Amino acid sequence: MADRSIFCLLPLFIMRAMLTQIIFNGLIAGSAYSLIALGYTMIYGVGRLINFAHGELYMGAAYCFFLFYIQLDWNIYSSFFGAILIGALLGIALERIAYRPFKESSRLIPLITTIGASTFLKAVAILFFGVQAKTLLKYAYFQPSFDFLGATLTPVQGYTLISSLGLMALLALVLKRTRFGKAIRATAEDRISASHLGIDTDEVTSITFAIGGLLAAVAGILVGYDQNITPTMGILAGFKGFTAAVLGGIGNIPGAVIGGFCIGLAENLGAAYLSSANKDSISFAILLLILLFKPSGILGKK
Amino acid sequence: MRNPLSKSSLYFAFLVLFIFSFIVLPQCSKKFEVVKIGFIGPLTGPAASYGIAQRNGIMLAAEEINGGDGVSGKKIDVVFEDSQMDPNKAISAIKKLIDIDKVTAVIGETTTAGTLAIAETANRTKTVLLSPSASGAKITEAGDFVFRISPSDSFQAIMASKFVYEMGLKKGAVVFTNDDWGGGLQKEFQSNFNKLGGTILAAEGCTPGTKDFRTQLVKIKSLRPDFIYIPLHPDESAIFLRQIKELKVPGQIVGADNFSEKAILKAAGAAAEGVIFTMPTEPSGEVYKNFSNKYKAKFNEEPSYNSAAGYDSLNILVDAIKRSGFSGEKIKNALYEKKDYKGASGIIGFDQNGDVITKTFEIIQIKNGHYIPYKRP
Repeated sequence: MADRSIFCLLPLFIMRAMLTQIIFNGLIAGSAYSLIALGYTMIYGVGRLINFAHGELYMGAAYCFFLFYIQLDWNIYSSFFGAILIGALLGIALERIAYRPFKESSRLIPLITTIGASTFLKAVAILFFGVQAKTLLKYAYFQPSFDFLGATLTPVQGYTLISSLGLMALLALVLKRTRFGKAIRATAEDRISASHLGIDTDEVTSITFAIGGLLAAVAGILVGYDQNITPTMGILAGFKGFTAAVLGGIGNIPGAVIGGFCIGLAENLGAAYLSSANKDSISFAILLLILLFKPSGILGKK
Repeated sequence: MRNPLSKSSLYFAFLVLFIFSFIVLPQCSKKFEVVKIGFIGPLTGPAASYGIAQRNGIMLAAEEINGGDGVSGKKIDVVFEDSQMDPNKAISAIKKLIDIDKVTAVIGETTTAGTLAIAETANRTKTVLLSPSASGAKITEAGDFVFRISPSDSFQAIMASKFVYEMGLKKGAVVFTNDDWGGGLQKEFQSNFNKLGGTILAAEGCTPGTKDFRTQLVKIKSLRPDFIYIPLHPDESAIFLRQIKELKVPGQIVGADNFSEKAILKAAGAAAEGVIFTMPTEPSGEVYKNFSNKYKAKFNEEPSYNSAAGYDSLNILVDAIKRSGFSGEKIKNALYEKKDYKGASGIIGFDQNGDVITKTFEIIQIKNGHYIPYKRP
């Protein structure tokens, strides 16, 4: 009986003391979801394809970072940039193998080939690195943390937030201001007209996959550095990124960012105030609700 | 019409023959000389370190048996199935093992949730199911054909709660994996700890495979418990321990047999320092030494409790088959008769529920990266 009454008081108690911490947790998780969601949404935009291997690009880059940084003992910067480069190349390879040969066929086919690619990439990771969780920390088993506005954060959490916001701004700039960004937007708007106007839509699709791979890679490495890596890490992350993309309106770029942050905040606030056992179900529930009531998403057009 | 068969249908016929040869030929040649035993356990996923240790132990046992006289003159062949710690996959695996591979008996599942999920199929098909490590209290009532060689969780939860209380830690929190194993331990621990007079301030569940515990930890930190009890799977425990340090949450960490795999030390390292946990009593004696030397020679690493349990599972099944024959009913009865099998993981004897009654738990502390039997200061 005694511990029951404490349970009732718990939400009030946390509200004051820990709200900032929980909001930071949500923003940091959310920024990673946003990066993944951007990939889903852009690839859907130009290719009308849900890339089911997207979570595996996230996982693959984290393992490349592990290979470079821990196993080959490179320094952290070259490992990081090497791994995101590989993430982008994986994206291109995925487009060549699992999308381009089937782009004229039914939409179901590339969906299935990307599921195949996803299983294949997981199997490769298991083959080379084993199934057990690996830490990406080289010199210690945990990171030093610092206090910021009443929340306790680790440096890599800070980098996750900053670099994802930076990347999103950069992406927006590229899409708005460059010729290439225009080509992507034109392809997304109308693939056939774009190709009539002389845009190489295959090239555009390929580079969109590369950008998606790169963004997922950054998220994978940073989250992996913070939370260890496993061959199955891409499944849940991919699902949540997908939910974020649908929430924001699939194909809509600012929507993906907003969706990512919404999911991150919703699941962390939900874990704190409702039930932590259902933390992961919160994004499932959100996905169901959007599909039921507003399938076009927050910013999506009809 | 010189050629009634067109080229493509000829190719097709060859293809069909080719595929069928894979299905038919192995059965023709092996059916009469091989005893098939199935294994179901997580070889990938968050509890993979258990499954792999058990698989290694089983492989070693099979090698020894086949190097000797085999089973009543037949060679043994173990079919390994990966459940990925997913009870649904475990169910497909046992159906495959029984219907397609026609196994004589099944070793598995590694986890409590998986074993409970497949117990029904085992009982219905009268196939002996022997789990090397499932420890949940519910397994006791899982049916006549279900055996296990690890002691029940109710022992370790009672032992841990009593021990923690006697250390003078009166206010605690629990973070548990929300499955049959973690939830079972949480319930047993909490009710015993309350009975003793202690208080559990919060019990936070998480889905299997969780990697971000920060929000749960923030909640717990604000309640200032004396200790945190963590029935979490190995990969989850490793990241949990790290986040405890990063968020500077004070309090003694108390674990369960999730620490029985030393792989956890590789991933958590210094963050695991000082953890106290319960695990099945470390085996010793001649049989263990013999096993341990062979294991080190084959796999180039120290064996764990789980590898010893895997090794014993196959050996004890083969022992029962040798004494009784190949039908599930007979093997089951032969296992119930066994009261003092000297295995690498300890003495194994079953009670009328198929629970092992000859093994106990002990309290271990991690000090300087080693497992030391805990002594009160």
